Formats: sequence, structure tokens, C-alpha cells
Amino acid sequence: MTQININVNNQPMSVISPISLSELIALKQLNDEGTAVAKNAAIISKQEWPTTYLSDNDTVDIFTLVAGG
Amino acid sequence: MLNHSSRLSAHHTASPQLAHEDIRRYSRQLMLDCIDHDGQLNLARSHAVIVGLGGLGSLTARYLAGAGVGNITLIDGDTVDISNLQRQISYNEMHLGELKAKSLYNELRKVNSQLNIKFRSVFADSNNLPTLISSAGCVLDCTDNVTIRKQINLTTFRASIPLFIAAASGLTWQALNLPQNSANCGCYECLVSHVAVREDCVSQGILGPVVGMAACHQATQALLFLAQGFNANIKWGHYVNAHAGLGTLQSFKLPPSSSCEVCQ
Repeated sequence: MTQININVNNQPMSVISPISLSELIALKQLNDEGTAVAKNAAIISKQEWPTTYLSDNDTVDIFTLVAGG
Repeated sequence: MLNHSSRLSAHHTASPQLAHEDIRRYSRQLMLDCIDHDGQLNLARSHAVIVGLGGLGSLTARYLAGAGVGNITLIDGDTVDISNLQRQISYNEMHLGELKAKSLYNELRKVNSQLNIKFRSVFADSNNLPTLISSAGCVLDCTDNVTIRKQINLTTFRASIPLFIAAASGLTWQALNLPQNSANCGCYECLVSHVAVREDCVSQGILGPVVGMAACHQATQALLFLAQGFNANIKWGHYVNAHAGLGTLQSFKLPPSSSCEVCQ
């Protein structure tokens, strides 16, 4: 286990590696309803969150999808 | 009266030229390299299908008609409600209770009587979409819920018809251009599969200009594509996420999901 530094929604964050996107969402206690996640500016589909692991200096953007019009 | 496309060809069948009145009408956009003479002719020959005529569709349709998109199909089965007038700026109190598709058709005819505009006062669904979009050069998804958005994504992907998506809720607007024929690009299903997306403006609320910003972006992307095809300088397969209050805009690549049931 090693500590890595990542950036989540423009905020620096230190986490213990290995950590997946699913675990990051849980760690931050975020509601995953309507949530989209991009790792290093590429969106990761929700099915791939559990198997997508973060590395040192990764950037994560978490935002809410909308569908109104 | 000749429609837009035939009026162009009637003047010069060998090498189509814009009519003098069209040069005046479209003079401001003809000055742009991304439109110019050939792009304007392409707009006149093109066919855009707009699904959903609320805050998004009523405004995108107005811009496409103003810009001279020669063939426009308007699709919505809804009627104009007084709660629509806060943001659906093509309608007014005179339209209350009328079918949106017919009301908007009548308004667009006043803007540009040369165009071939058709309307269908039906709600799009998986049964009628293949027929509704069959001759489209592109489709604009201006609907307001994930269920129909998924169906539009599936239908355009199967038909390889480029799709321009926009959405808005609260102070957020989002958009996505999909070529629907590229192995390098994900699709709407890749984005929303297994995600419970907040549904619509009724439950979440919306500020009028925010959905207008989404519509302006969507109309711009579609016009650039219709003028220059895949040579247009627009981004495909990137999800735009904007916050109108903060004035921030992010763009994320949307790769194909290996488990996508639509594009894989």
C-alpha cells in the first residue's frame, strides 16, 4: 500500500493505492445517482468503475448528468 | 413558390449559385469561412430532424430556419402550456393549448418561407423513430428524458446518422456530438448505461437562459456540420459539461464502453 496524490474536481487529495473509482466515490460519500466520472479527461462508464484504478497524479472529475430539455 | 433547394438549382443547374436575395438574407454568416458560399448551399440541401420542441428544440429550430437549413422536420406530440413560456421562447400566450409542432411550424414559416419545413405532432418512440429520421442528414435530440434519448441514440446509431444531443437542468447544461459511425467514439448508451439520470425540468427546475445556452451550442454544432460535413471544425465524442452560474465549461472524451449494448 502506497499513498498517491490525485486531483478530484480541482481539489488535491491523498489516497491509499490501490483504489478504484468505485472506492473513491464511496470514500467521498457521494451519491452515485446520475453521477458521471472522468479520469484524465476521459469518461469511464459506470460498469468500469470497479476495475478502473487510480495512479499518482491522476485527475478525476465527478459531475451529475442531466437530461432535461 | 419554389422551395429553397429547387430555387438554387433553378438559377444555375450546372453550378448552383446563391440567389441575390439569399446573399442578402445570409450575408452575415456568408462572411464566415466555416459557412461561405458552398456551406450555404450545403445548408440549403440539408435535412435536420429535431426531436422534442421544448426549451431546446424550439430554439434550435429557430436558428436552423434562420440560417437556411433547407429541410427541417419538427417532431413533438405535446401542446403549449403556460409553464413553457418561461423558457420556450418561440411560443407565446397565443399558442397556449396548441400543438407545439404546428405552432412552431407556423412561426418558422414567418421567419423563412423558402424552407421545406414539415411537422409531425407525435411523441417519438422506438416504433416511429426509424421512419421519422430515415432521410435525415442529422438528428438533434432535444427531448427531456433518458428513455427517449436512449431510443434516439439506438436508432441513429443503427442508421449511421450523426446525432447532436443537448440537455439542461438547474443551472447546468450539457451536450454531445456523436458521428454514430466511428469505432473510436462512444455513444449515449455508453454514458448513461446503469446510471440513474435526473430526469427532467419538472422535477429539477430550470432557469430559462440555461436551456437556451444548451440550444445555442447544439444549433451551432449542427449548422457547422450541415455546412461542412465531417470537415467541420467541431469535436465529436466529447461530452460538454457547463455551469451557467459559474461560467465554467469542461469537455471530456467519451470512449466506447466495451460492454455497450448499442455501439459494441
